[in-house]
Amino acid sequence: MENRLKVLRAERNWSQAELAARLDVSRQAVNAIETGKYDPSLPLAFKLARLFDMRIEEIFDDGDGHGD
Amino acid sequence: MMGTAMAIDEDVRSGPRTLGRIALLVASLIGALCACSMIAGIIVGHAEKGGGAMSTTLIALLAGVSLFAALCIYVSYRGLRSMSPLKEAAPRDRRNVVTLAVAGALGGVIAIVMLMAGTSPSIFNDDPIPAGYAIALALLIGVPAPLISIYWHLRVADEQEAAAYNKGALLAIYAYWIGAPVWWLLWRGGLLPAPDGIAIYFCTIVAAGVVWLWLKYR
Repeated sequence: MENRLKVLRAERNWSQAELAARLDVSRQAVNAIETGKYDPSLPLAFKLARLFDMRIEEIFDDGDGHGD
Repeated sequence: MMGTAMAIDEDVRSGPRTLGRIALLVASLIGALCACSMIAGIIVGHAEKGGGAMSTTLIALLAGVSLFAALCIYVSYRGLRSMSPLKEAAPRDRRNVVTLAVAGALGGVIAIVMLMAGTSPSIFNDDPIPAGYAIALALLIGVPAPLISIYWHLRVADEQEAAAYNKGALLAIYAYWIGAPVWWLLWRGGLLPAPDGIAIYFCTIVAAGVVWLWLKYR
């Protein structure tokens, strides 16, 4: 699944470690999500959405053509 | 203007502090390396002299050097942490370090008890050991290891790591389910030596570990 996590993180000038600390996950987890190697669970996706003050579909794109 | 002056003062003061931190980090890393080399030297030296039960003096020396190594590793970790943009570790990272330290200490204690029992701390060594040591070692592994594992899964591993663990465990159980009967059949055909439980156990650990490492750190 594609996502805009790296861009959103860069806009806020956060390192992967900083974002990981805010989400209470490991830096490796953030890296795996950013590079599309791991799709987060729904609770983590909601956590991300709340952190960036966006809707989940504005961050993640399942390739179905409905992502913003 | 005053703020700029204070910032410059802070920079001037933090220069020697940073140098001190780097020096301490390098010294602690060298200390850890030396201590680990010394531990290896003591164990190899003991084995070259014919092995057997270690003397109390040698065990005390081994325990002392191990404690020094642990201290150096801790100082290195604190040094690295103080230089990272995040001065304090996230709660999950802190729990990770504590769990690793406890597991490492437990491994050290197990190794020392094995050396006291007169055997090398290797899973491939099946020399007989006194019953008392066998019970002590079984308790040392059988009681804390499950507790540490449960804590690790519930409080330390995040969901990405848990997924990596699950896939590693799945591959390991298939390696066991398929590998063991294949070996058993080839043994019955006279093509391989008899199945070795320790080798099969080791293979499942390697299979799970490789998949976990790959999925977590790729």
